Amino acid sequence: MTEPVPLTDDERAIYQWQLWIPEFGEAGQERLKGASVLVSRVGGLGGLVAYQLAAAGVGKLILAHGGNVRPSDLNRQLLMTHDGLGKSRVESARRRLLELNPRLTVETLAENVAESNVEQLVRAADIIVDCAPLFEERYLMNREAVRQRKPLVDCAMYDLEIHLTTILPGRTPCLSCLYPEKPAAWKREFPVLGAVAGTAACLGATEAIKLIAGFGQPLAGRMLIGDLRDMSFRTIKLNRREDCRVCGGVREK
Amino acid sequence: MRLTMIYTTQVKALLGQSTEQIDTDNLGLGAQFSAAQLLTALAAQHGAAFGQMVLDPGGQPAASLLVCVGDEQAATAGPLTVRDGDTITLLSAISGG
Repeated sequence: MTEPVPLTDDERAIYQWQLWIPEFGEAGQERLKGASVLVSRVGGLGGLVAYQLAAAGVGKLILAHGGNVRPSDLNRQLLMTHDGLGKSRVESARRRLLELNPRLTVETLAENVAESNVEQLVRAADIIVDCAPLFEERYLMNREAVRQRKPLVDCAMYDLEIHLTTILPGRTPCLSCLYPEKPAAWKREFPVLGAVAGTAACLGATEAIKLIAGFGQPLAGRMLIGDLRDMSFRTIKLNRREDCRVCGGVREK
Repeated sequence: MRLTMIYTTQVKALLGQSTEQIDTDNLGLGAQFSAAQLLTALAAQHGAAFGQMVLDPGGQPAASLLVCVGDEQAATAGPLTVRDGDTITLLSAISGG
């Protein structure tokens, strides 16, 4: 999926502890270094996905998120800071990510994913991590990921609950297989605890790292559901929808 | 047949409960029933807002809802394959936060 890039001695020192992970090692680290990941958006969920991927040594992050930092972002959007209030979210994200990993390439778009930009954003990435709050954005990324046969990690949360699945076009159900339509009663603003968004984010980042480095078993055709109120976690086996308007008839490359 | 319903996310928030024990005989369901029939029977108990959340205007399971028997997504066309003691989970689509 990605072209490995050789590590420098500095990088071997920085990633020393994760190079000890069996099946990962230097070959996995080189694949991370060569990878480009699209994260949309960089709020409570996507911000932590981006932070973990930057820490792990992913070579390039492509971030799409419109608007400026608001006070109500600061309970969960850990790439945003108090002194960034009123300023661009993606610029705050870029600054914080480069403080953590100055070797990282960060491409930012101060817009949300839309019909006008989704094709180009997905084309620039090897893998997509969908953290967007609006179903319209999620369906666009799903459609484009299927068209371009790119893996998509779908992260979601509500209140103290999380859902996570990995979409491998042609092999697993896509978002439109699972939910052909968004919930009729969906409200844009909903309960979010930062630590719960961050839990979903760390799980999503782990999934992305596994996919890029090629180890472990992804949540392909399965959905992890968790309720952090009682710390119960289950994995649900999912089905493709043969008549899916997005991936019906699509076969794995 | 006794079943355990598990309600999640928006459905749980609406009902204010995460689980419910049901008896399909008491709900007027026969030996075999579809997901739509089960959800319609539950809507009669839980009210119109629940019905609008889990059923589409045609009375079929909402396109934003997964119905799971045990740990597997169930096909919503035709009768549900359930046995006494099974757990049915309703998963409504959620997004990023």
